[in-house]
Amino acid sequence: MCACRTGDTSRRNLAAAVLLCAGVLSGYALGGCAPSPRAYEASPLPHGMRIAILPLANYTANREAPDKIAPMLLSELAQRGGLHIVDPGAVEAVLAREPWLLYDRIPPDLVERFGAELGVDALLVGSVLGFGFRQSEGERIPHVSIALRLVRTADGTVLWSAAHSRDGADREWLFGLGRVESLEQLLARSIAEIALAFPATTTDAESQVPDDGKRQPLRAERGAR
Amino acid sequence: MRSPSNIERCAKRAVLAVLGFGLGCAAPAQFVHPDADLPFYETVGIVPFESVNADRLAGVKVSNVFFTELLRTRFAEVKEPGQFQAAMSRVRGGTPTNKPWSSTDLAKLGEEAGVQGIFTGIVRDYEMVRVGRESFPLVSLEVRLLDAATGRVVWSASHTRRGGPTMPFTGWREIHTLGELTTQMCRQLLDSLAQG
Repeated sequence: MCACRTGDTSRRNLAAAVLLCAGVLSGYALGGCAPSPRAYEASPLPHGMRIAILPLANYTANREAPDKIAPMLLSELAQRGGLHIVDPGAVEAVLAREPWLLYDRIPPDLVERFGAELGVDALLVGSVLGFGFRQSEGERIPHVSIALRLVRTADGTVLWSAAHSRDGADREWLFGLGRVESLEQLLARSIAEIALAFPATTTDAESQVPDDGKRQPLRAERGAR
Repeated sequence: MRSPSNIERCAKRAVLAVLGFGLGCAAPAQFVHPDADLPFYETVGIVPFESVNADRLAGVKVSNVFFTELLRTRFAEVKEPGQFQAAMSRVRGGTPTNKPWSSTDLAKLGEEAGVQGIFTGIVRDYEMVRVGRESFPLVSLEVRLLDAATGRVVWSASHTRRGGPTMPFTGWREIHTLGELTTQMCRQLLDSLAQG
């Protein structure tokens, strides 16, 4: 009797374990494959690098998209150590003097002038490729798509570039679990994810940009010389 | 409230997945010139792709994604889009840069921008298509690498893909957005360049 009961218990435990594994695997398979940012990184950034975030070019019908994204981007990047993000008010003041319509296609002379006037080493530019809702089964599901790149003001070298697209149903698996219904919430997540893909900063001793094998001095250092 | 629509959705996904599996798995068609010396192209630029669909901005959107993916391959140094745009404006003047380029203009652009190769492209489809009550992204794209000096096509690839589930009967790796589908397609196209 005892041996029989033990056998039943083992079988029940085995069945429970199999069901648990199947559940976990299904969860991963259905909900664990949300897109992650695709990024190119030339090298780690020098510690203390000064960066200005320019307004994003807007390729969507939603006029407010860049205004919603910029503050979130600023907040995420400011939390990272080793970078100095220039005050958006200063950026606005310089842009008012140098009007330019397409901020993701800035000519090299203007990049250099923005760099000099803002006292920054790099400009973060980019575009909003998608921002809104799509229809699915009669429901509105939010989506966001962004492309960003970090351009060195001294010579126009691309130090980092990334594209990221997210949809509210990316992490949905069963019965609507995992779905993001709010566009603002999805945007916040997307910005946090793309900021995570931003290059790390080196310590001063390690600071170098390997493109040409020569370290580029920071603008603050050039000014001090 | 939501359960019946989810059951319907699962059943529809299964049918769509089976029907769309062929389109979702199709590989890009590609051409590499037999005399092409790909390592010769050390610096390249991207002309914003031409859009021949309802979304007139699709070309710029796709070329922005293509830029990041091209950098990721480390195939060549890629001119910063602003720098390349400035060179195009100097060569073209007021003519829109996404209109076809003559070999003479391409040679001038190559010299002006300091590039050996120039990527051009056409976005034929870039839209969300409705299938029943679901909507999936559909992108059709053709990209070419031209030799700047001669205008000769060195490499070209084209691809059409629709989003939705990539595995029948599941939502596994389902692609919902035009941006994500574009990213995956650019990666697939450029894989063929790396292999070429």
